[in-house]
Amino acid sequence: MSPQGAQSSPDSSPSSFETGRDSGEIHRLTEDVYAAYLQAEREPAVTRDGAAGLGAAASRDYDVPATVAHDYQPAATPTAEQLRLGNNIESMRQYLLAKQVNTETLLEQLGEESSMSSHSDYVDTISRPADRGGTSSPESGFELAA
Amino acid sequence: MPSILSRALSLLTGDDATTSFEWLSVSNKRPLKSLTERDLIKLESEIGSQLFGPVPRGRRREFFCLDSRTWIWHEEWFDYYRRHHVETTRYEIQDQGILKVSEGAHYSYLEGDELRNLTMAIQMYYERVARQIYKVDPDTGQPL
Repeated sequence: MSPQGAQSSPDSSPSSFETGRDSGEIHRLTEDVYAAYLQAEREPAVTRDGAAGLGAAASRDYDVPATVAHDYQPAATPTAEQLRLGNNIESMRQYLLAKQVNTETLLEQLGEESSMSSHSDYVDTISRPADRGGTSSPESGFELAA
Repeated sequence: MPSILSRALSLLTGDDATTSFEWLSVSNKRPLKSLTERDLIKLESEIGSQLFGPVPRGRRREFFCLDSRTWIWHEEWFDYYRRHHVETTRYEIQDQGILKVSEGAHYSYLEGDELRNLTMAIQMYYERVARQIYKVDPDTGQPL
């Protein structure tokens, strides 16, 4: 009994398979193989060369063991492009975060400076020439205290 | 030491008695303060969740790029019997293909429609996130 036998007559019922085994075993085998054949028919992408092929067809939603995963060679998956897009997204994210940190730092510095600058702060530190006996004029302006 | 700004303003206005700099102080309650990476991913995920059509009522969907090699699909919903269902799928971009990792240690490489759908979703996600969140032209990488 082989899958090829089943393939050659897709409309065959289990009873049409011929083997030299006893009827009970034939019945069981034909049931199994016919079911596998039908499954394989529904999954044309899977090769049906022998028991291994049928096994793969029967377990289409397979758990991929490490060895299988290692040997897996898909026809053409554009993973490089997807990886490039993923990298771009990651870069944009990191760029925005870095830029945000810089902006935050600048704003915090500005906030600290503006909150420090009360009226008394700069009156105490700015003196006019007139206060020291000089004359104040647009030309002389103000002098900053040391 | 007073700020240069305060000095410049007092010189310009000539009135050092009533000058107030309160308006210059920066509020600590700025809405855009300190977005974290997690916040950005949440924003991205709001876009990502819409890529596959409207989310049915009573469902929560997330789809986002976790890092350059990992994409996450997450969906939660209640069934007819009000049982809570959670489904999280991780897609790993590997050199030999995209590995789909589902709960219960199910692993499979994407093929066929699912691969095409994910590829398209990643492309759309990138374009929309670049434009709407990062304000960058997705083709050139230049600021919009």
